[in-house]
Amino acid sequence: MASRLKIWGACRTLAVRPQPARLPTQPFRVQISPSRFYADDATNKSSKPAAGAKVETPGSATRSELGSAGVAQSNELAQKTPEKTASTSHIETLDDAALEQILYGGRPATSQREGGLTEAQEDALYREGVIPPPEEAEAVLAKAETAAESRSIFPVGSELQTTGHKFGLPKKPYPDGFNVKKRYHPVLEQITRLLMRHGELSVAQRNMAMVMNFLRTAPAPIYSPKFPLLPGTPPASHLPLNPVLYITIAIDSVAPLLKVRNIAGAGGGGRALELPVPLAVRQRRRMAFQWILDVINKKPSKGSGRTQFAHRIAEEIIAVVEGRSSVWEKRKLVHKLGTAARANVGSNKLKTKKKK
Amino acid sequence: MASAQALRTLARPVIPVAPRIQPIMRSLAAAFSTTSLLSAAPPAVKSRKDLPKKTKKTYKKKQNIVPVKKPGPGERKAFRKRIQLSNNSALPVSGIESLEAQTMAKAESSGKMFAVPDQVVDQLRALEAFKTTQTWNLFRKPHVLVRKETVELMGKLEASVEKKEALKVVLTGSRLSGKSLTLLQAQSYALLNEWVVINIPEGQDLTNGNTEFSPIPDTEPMQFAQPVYCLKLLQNIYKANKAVLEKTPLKKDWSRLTTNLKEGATLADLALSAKESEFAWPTLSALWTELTQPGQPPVLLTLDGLAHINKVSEYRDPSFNIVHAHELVLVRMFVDALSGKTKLPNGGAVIAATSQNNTHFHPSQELVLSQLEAGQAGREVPKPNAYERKYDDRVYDALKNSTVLRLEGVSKDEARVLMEYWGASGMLRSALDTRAVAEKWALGGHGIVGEMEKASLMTMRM
Repeated sequence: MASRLKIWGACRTLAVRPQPARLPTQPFRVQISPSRFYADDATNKSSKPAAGAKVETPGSATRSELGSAGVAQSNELAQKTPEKTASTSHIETLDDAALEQILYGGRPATSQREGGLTEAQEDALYREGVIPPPEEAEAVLAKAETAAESRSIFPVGSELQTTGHKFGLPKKPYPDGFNVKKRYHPVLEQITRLLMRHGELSVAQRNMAMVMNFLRTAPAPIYSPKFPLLPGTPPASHLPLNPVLYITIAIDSVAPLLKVRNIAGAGGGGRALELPVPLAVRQRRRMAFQWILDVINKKPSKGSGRTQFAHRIAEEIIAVVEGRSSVWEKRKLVHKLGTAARANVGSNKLKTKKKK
Repeated sequence: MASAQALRTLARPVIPVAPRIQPIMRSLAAAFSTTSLLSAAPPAVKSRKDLPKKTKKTYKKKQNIVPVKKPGPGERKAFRKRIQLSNNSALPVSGIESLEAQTMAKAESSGKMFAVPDQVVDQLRALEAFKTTQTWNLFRKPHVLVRKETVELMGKLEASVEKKEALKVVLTGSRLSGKSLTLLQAQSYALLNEWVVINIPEGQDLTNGNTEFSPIPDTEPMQFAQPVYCLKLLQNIYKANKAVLEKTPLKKDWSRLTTNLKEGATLADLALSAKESEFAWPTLSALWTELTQPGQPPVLLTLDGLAHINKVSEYRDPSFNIVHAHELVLVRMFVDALSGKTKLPNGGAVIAATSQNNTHFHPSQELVLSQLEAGQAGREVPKPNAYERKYDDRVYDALKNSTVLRLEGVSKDEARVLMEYWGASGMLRSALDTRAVAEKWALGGHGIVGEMEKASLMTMRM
């Protein structure tokens, strides 16, 4: 009797698992040991992720790209730490282009074409915040189109058909979030909602339309060599007649590449650990436009009437493109801070903090 | 000797001091007081209560006020009222003819765009014909679409000169349908044909009590002039019609008004003779009398915002009675011309445009306009409402002799021409096909031009 009881008791402790527990694999994320040894520098071991880490298309998956970019960045930043400790003045000389090289593998080469942007290039700018060379933009656009087609043929959720339903779920005609034709431009839509006050969207839309009309009537901006805009920016004469491009160029040019996140208590001695984090395109635009709005709200208006708010926005956008705006200083400040804090990226303290 | 001299000085009688400037004797006043005023000591400190109290300190953070240059008086309004007629960023549109004297009256120019010549633009600007709400600032140069109604109106203007009879028109139509722009086209037609153009840009300015007014002596019931407005109007008339006025001699003797009109003086001299606002109305009235003499150039008299000159004005007479707008002489001048009381023996036109945004309901005006319109179309003429008490016979009589021209949407062909112009200027970025035109035409309430502009130029969707 006693032996039988013992057997059941032993069985009870076993958990019932119908499937073997297995951690989901992350195909695009390469596991790299955060610890570094003195020998690593001497052997000049390549700490870059394997070739498989960057297989996804730039257009379709910005998120995953950022993830992989983050990993790559952590390695490269980690490699640069000794240099940083050797001379702090090096940070000062590290300009935006170098930072961009570190974070995103550099911006694509500036297009030397005299004319404006092709349609594919503009599309890429609105989607990704960079202006690729025309051929690359064409290729990406074609790929995105084929992907969209294939998506519409096989609607999402086809795997769910068999689970728990006798005859399966009816097919959805369109994938989730599908829209035949978006009413407004994606950049404008985001910005309009940012300048909305008291939830009055139509007022914000009217303001945005006024901003664009003001940009169309303003003379072409004079580019400042001190504050270079996005590489591949078309000549200034092309901007006034394409106000959406005008606004996008202004905002994407001043947008910060990263933000510094303070992780409480991870710095040791109760200090916060400053950790630079790369931003996605929408986040970057949001940050940039918030900065512009901050400037606008402090500016006095020159006239009276309801067009004043729109006028101030348009003037600030022109000021950004011409390099007169104080928003450029904010960008510089954030980038400097991010560069100074890059040593913290692969920190051990961070790891222990996360475990707790 | 010396002592004698000294004695003489002593003996000199003291000059008596005037009693008014006697020095105040402080010591005398103090003699009645028991306390020493001047040497009063501070109150003695006997307890903590007597200690000087601390003034409360405010620890509120001072907002850092950045010194900014505030706009000067009138600067904000000037910014708001600014009229910008060209946009250097917009593309110049080639292949568009310029307006000439007879262009708008010809049937074949219907449904085409025309450029307004630069000289006419300056004259129209002087007449204040351009409005801030119109989208002139988007395009390289002012262009106008000649539509069917325009050709009709210009044909009538042309006929009026031949018949030597005034054309009296009221422009009505729904909101943003182009009434003010048709007025502008009529003015440019008149300027190109060397008429004299007098424009009252807003009827509201005359009756809302914002400009000075003064009674005219010996009038019963009392009439009022608006001197400052009249002076400005005279100057605008001179600026816009300088060339015509300078070659037109005076027909009558105006020496009672001003002495420096020589033999063979022209209308321009008369217009310039009013230097001060007191003489503005007499001079304007003299100018108007001259223009209504036979043998002078034809006249175009226009006014925008008709409902405002038909109401009871905001002015009061000296005994604080209300003043009907028709008692204001400038309004009366217009109304007399519109009702046909003043004849224009050289031909010409009186055109009034109603406004749909800035207006009020005036039963008599509505009634007479609907009756005229029905009569013109051969429909049954609507009868006055027997229960309506606010009819105004003066308004009815003022308008009953005019004709009504109704403006509504443009046709699809005209809309297409207009949108092609927008596209050629670089303001419309989408592809322009029949579908796009039909879409905007429908969105614009079947071709209401202003609504079409809103739907395609002043939108986030491009």
